[in-house]
Amino acid sequence: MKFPKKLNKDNIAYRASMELEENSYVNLGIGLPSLCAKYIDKKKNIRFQAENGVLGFDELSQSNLQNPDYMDAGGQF
Amino acid sequence: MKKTEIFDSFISSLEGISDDMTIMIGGFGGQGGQPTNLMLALKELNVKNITLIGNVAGISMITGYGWIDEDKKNAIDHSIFFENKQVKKIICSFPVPAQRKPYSEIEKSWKNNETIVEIVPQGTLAEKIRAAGSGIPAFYTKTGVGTIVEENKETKIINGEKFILEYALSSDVALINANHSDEFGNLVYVGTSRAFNPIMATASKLTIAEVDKIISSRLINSERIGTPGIYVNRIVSKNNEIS
Repeated sequence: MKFPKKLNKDNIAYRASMELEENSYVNLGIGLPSLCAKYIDKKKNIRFQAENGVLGFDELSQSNLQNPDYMDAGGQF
Repeated sequence: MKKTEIFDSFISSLEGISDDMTIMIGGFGGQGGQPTNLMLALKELNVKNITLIGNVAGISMITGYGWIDEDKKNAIDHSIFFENKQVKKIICSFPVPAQRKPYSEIEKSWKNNETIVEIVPQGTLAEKIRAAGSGIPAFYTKTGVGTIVEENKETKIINGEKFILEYALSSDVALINANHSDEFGNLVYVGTSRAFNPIMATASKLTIAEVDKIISSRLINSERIGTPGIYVNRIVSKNNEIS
């Protein structure tokens, strides 16, 4: 990913995801943190937990695959 | 112990709820785990001066929080009770969206001095409710030490660290949601829709559960039961597979 002059949310999430250490369990709270799941290097074997209790979530679902019973802390699916 | 009663009408399942009661509403916030039909019935019942207890409250209708894209425009949340001037006080952890405008109904009521809004840190809120259901009158927590949360509360130094004393939180009624139940009121939850529902069931005098369907106890997976029926006074569903 190229860094533009002005940071946007995706750049921040991408940069923050680089800080995460291999094999860790990471709790993502509401807001920007949820975006980190999208940019994590899969080889790092990181497990994400949402603040509301799901362990093992990933990037957001496509609109047609959203399930109200599986939500993250940001109210997204 | 009275048997769990089964209702097929949401409004009739609320019988006995009156003005001035304290009412818990389950779910994390958003459509999953929220007893939406019971909430609509509670609005219709039009009881006044109630105290609400919930987690994320009153932001879905302006932000779509927790509602899938397909249903976003029909989102329902705690705002309906504020529009209808039913609420004396709300105890919750997240009543206002991150964006400043438009104001949520809760924020409007608070600004107009119509409602008291008490914000409790989310984990503390969950533990206050769990404590009430487990017969624990109060507990110590580190959350909020050195902040506004600590004001007017007892504190104690334990092993050199400061803790706040938080009291248990119970209610007259809990309106909760589960995926399905059997005829004894044993409830099965799915995914994150579980949030806050099991603890509220234990912390209230009267627990009313809205379920997608009621199946026979012969078919329910007993290892998946999240709330035993002994905590559930009433179940209500449009889809009852036992007669």
